[in-house]
This record gives sequence, structure tokens and C-alpha cells, in this order.
Amino acid sequence: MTALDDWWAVEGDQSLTDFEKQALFNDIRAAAFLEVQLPFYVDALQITRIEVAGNRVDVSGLGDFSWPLRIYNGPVGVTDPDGNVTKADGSTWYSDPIEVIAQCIRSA
Amino acid sequence: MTTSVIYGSSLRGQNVQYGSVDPAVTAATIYANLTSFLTTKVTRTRFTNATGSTTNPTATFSATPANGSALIAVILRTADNTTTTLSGWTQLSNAGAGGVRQAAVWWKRAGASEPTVVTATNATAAAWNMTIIEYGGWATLADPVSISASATVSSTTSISVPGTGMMAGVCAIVNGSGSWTTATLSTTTGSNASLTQFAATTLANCSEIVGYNNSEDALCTYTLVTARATNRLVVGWPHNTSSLVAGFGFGAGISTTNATSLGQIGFEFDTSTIPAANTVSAATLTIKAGATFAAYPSANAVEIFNISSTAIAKTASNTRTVWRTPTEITALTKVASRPAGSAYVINTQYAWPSEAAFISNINQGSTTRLLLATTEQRTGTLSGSAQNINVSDTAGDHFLTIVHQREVTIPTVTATATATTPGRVTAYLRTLPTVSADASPVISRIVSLLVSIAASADASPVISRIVGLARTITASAEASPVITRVASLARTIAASVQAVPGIVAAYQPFSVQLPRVVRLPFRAIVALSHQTRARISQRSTLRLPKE
Repeated sequence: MTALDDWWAVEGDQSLTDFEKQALFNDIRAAAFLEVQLPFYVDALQITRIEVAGNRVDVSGLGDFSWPLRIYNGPVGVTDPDGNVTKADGSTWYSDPIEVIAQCIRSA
Repeated sequence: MTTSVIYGSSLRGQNVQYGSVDPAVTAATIYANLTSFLTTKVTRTRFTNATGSTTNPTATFSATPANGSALIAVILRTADNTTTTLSGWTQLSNAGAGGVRQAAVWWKRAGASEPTVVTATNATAAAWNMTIIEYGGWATLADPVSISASATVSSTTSISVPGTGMMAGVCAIVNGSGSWTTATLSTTTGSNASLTQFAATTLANCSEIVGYNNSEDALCTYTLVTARATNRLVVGWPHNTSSLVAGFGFGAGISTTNATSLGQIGFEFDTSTIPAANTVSAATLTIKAGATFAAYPSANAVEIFNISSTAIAKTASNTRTVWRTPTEITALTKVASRPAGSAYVINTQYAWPSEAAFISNINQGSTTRLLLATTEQRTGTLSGSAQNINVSDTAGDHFLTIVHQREVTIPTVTATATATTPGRVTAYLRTLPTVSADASPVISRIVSLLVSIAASADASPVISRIVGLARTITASAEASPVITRVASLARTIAASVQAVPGIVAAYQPFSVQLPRVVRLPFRAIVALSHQTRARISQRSTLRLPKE
């Protein structure tokens, strides 16, 4: 089971309230992001630190970027044609927090 | 500086109309009738209610229905042996069954010479109630749809009709033989709810018909005192329904052939984490295409507008919180726009190019709500072909990237300081970036004086001991202190320096024409251009001029 599988299981659980889902999402997100091995690079930027608090992920690093990067209510993976996790709707994903961080950095 | 990436907290797509329209009606016609649609909506022209116990129920309009009107026929029967049919009409909804108790609603688009008499057929005589209604207004453009139908609802004294955005509706109830009294409308809630009970009969103990008009999020409740189970069904013209289609996601834009896609999409982002005191320097909206299908308009830009003042209801609401008319869109601030014909691939995220106004339209400390619409939805002028876009129906697939920082304005302070006899200081006039200074204190011991000067300085203190004087100068400096001992004097000079101190011993003397003693650090390289006496220690290299 990947973090995305856990995520989608919560997402599809109709017995949970929105509040309960958010709490579980936060737990899944924290576990996924805190497993990331540091440092790593996104293009020319070096990611040196990740902290998780509630629905927020704080990312710090070195390089020309408006640090810190703060991600609110972020996912634990991204869609990718070559992704190794398949969602029920047929879309393919990477269950990888590093890709989420990279996506956020490149969107800025 | 901080970069906040905020994933969507709520997402809603709304169609202005749900269900198919008259195939002959184009989106252009619909748009031309938007004003009347959103204000007068469906109008009820006339109705007739008839009851009997014969084989074929029949009712007669008081006048010939207008060409293009939508005609509704509600037929209720008890203890019927077969299903009653209505030739030339389309059954919209049916609850119950022939042989027991049956409630059915039929509809028809009126022709140029529509008969006034409507006759249903059945092989068996039984108690019946038949109401025929002519609807105009929006009903001349759009077809009615079935909203709900329940067979054999348990005996109850109160039934709530889901009036989710219905512009007009018919609710029909039939019960079998048994005692009951006339039903009455008892409660209406919701904005602009307006109900009219236009037919009620207890003849043959078989039926009650309630018609109502309402606007947005209305809930109609009526009380029915009965000892028998009943059937009920509701048809009408619901509006502001979801533009969500499984796999397609939320749709926006306009189709020219029918009104099944007259949608717009609202996004909601919790920007309460962006402090109101912060200055936003950049904002970008990233939108993800549908999971299994991707459509993008070829001749329309897809534009994003600020609708922060309007909350986007997440679920179970048909209030028109998202959908806007061209006039209403024009009054909004456009914050981003993506050109017509841009690439759009399934399951892919795209950053929408921001307008300059975006940064000032981030609702800092609160919620930012955005509307997605196409250019023609803003202008009201259609391009002639279908211009649609679809986005993922997961709010968290879309995100807002905001670069922000807290900026503090430093007040201007005018101050005068007088210091003439400091006993011991670490540094004096150490760094003068843009201002000039003029000071002549008496200092017994100091670490550095005029260390880094980018402006002009003029200092003539009396110093007994100092480590560095006028060390890095990029502007003009004039220092004439009386120094007993100094370690470094005018070491790096990029400007003019005038320093004429009375020095007993200096360790770094390469500047003015003063006799000096040099002590070199470990492995130093010294280039001498004049007659000089040097003491060299350890492994230093001494390079002398040829002469």
C-alpha cells in the first residue's frame, strides 16, 4: 500500500465526516513527507529541510527561491503517465512527496 | 519571502440549465433569453383539472396552447387494470403501476395547431384525476425532466418536496381507496420560494396535485392527512445544477447545439494563512484537466475572475453562487487568462497566466474564490462552435501559488548624538554606507575606526590604541587621529584617503610615505618597489626589484 492508496481509501470512505477525513489526510501526509531522505535537488535548488504541522508542509532549501515553501492541504503524489499507482478512474500517479514539492516549486 | 502553495478546499461547477433542450434551440437563443430565464423563469399559462371514473381520462385547455409551449399532463388512477397511456406524449415519470394505484406525468411540445382536448386511453374504467398544464417562458426552450418519483410512500402526514432549484414543478400524489383529506402546502423555505397550489381534489379518493414555482434552494413541504400509502412524483425545470459528469469532471463553456453544457466553475482556496499585513508579489492558479477526458475551447480564452464575496456552496445547494451572466462577469475583476487553443491533456496540470490584478485580489486572511468562464460567457457573443473546458472534479487537484512577504516600513528618525570622550569603544564610524560623518572624539582604546566607508567621513579623534584605521575605503575619508599604536592603517583603498596620524608602530603600512616596519604573516609574498628594509621569518618569499 502506498501513501496514495491510503489517501484514496480515506477519500472514498463515505462513513467519514469531512473533519475526520482531513485529520486522516494530515496523518498520511505527515508520514509520507517525513520519510523523504534529505537533502535532495529540484532543478538547481537543494531541499534541506521538511517539517509537517497539521495540514501544512514547510520546505526549506538552498538556491534562488522564495523560501520557505509552505504547502497547505497538499497531496502525497502527482499524476504522471508513467506513474506506478493506478487510481480507480484509470489515471496513473506517482506516490511520491518529492514530486509534490517539485511541482509546487515549479509553479512559483 | 515565503511561497505558499494552497490546494483547493472547495470546487463547484454549475449548469444554468439541466437536461436537454428543444433540439431546434441553440445556445445562441438560450443566451438571448438569459435575462428572462433568470428573472421570470418558467411561466404557467393555463391549467385544467378534471376527474371522473370513466375508461379514458380527458381534460380540455381553455384555449389553444401557444406554439412551442411545454404541455404537462398528470394522470392519477386507482385500482386501474392497465397502465393509462397518452398518445403523442412522452412519459416523464411514473410511480406505482397499472392495476394498483398509478401516478404518471407526461409531456409534449405544443405544435402550431395544438388541440385543446387531451385524452388518455385505458381499457378499464376506474377513478381518475387528470390535470393538464401549459408552461411558457423558459419552458419553451428547455425540456422538463423528472426530479423524483416514489412509489408507495408510507403513510405520513408530511412530505417534503425537494425543490432544488426548480423553476416550476408538478407534484402528484395518488392513494388508493381510503379516507383522506385535502392536502395543503404548509412550509416553504429558501430564497424566492413561491408556491401555488393550483389543483386539489378529493373526488374518488384518488388524487392531489400541487404545482409550485420557486427559485433557488427552495424546500416545499405539504401536509397530507391520510390513512393510506401514497405515490408521489415531481417533474420540472431545475436550474443551477451541477455540471459534473463522471470521468469528464466539471464542465464549463457553451455548446451551440444544446444547453447541456452551459456551465461555469467556482474554485475556493483557504488563503487565511496569508497574513493581511503581508505583501503579495506573485499569484498563480494551476488547474488540472479531467481524469479521462480533456476539452479546451479552440476559439475562446478561459478566464478566471474574482468572486470572493460569494461563498461557493459545496454540496446540496442549487443557489446560483457560481454561474454569472455576461453583465455580471464584466463587473468582476479578471485575474488570469489562458489563450484559446492552448494545449490541454488528460490529467495534466496547467498554470494559468496571471493578470497584474491577481496579487491584489488574493483575499489575505480569508478565503479566495475564483470563477472560471470562457470569453463568450463574458461577452455574450458566441463564436459559432462548441467552446468547452473540463477540469478535474477533485478540489485538491487545483492549487494557488502565492509568493508573499512581510514588509516593515521604518520610520524616519532625526536624532543628534554628541559623544566627545568615550573611554573605550569597539568600533567607531565603522560602516558609513550612504551618509557622511564628522567626528572628533577622544578615545583611549578602540578596535577599529573608519573600517568600511562608502560615504565620506572625517574623523580626527585622539586615540591611544587602535587595531584598524580606515581599512576599506570606497569613498573619501579624512582621518588625522593621534594614535599611539595601530595594527592596520588604510589597508584597502578604492578612493582617496588622507591619513596623517602620528603613529608609533603600524603593522600594515602599505599606503602613505611613512617609514615603517613590516612583520609578515606566515608564508607571505611581498613585492617591494622601493628601497626597503624587511625582516623575514619562517618560509616567506621575498621578491626584490632588479635594481
